Amino acid sequence: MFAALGISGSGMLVHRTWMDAISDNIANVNTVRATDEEAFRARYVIAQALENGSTGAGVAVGGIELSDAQGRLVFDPTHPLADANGLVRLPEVDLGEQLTTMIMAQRGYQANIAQVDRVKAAYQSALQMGRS
Amino acid sequence: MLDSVSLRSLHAALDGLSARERAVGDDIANVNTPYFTARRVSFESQLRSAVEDGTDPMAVRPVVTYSADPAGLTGNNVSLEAETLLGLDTSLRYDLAVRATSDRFSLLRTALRTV
Repeated sequence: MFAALGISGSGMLVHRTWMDAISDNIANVNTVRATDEEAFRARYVIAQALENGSTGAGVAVGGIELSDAQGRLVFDPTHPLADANGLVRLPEVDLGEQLTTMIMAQRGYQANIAQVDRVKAAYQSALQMGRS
Repeated sequence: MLDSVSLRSLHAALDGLSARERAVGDDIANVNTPYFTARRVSFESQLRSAVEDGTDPMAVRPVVTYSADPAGLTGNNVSLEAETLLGLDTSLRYDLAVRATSDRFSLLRTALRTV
């Protein structure tokens, strides 16, 4: 009955999951690990369209991809996690890329909210049908 | 009278418009989904020919087609501007059809009162 709201809701959910993942990636941009551990791995949300054979059934998170565990080695001999050569492992997170995808996720979320408003107006007018 | 061609046509139009609104919602929900192809819903021309030929307007089923717009870098061809305008247009047309339906019913109500 109110399928159009559910479709926009699924879009909001996927975009919010995406924003959560990006926030986590940004929060861990300076997470230091020892060289014998793997680096913090950035999360990438995979969106997948849901099909129902006609107008579509929205979108869902199809999976999470992780970035390279290799990271990059940085020379920081004063760090408590530094190995014998004075190296530590930092994650390979590109802050510029994360921030631009954050804007994409935010705009996608806002577009879905705008669609919820339009659908709500349509349903409200349908509920007024036959009155007065 | 309650089953007139105009009411059945309006009913078919409301069905088609709500299908289009769902398609727009789905396209916007998938605005960032890689390899997604936007969908278009058409029913107006079929509805017009049904009314002209005197066949049942309620037999008109909205036809879903895939948009032929060129895809971007991610293989997704949803244009947020086009979808927003289409959503707004559909929402206003829906309001119009609802108002027309209400007006048909108020005509009936007036007729019932005068008896």
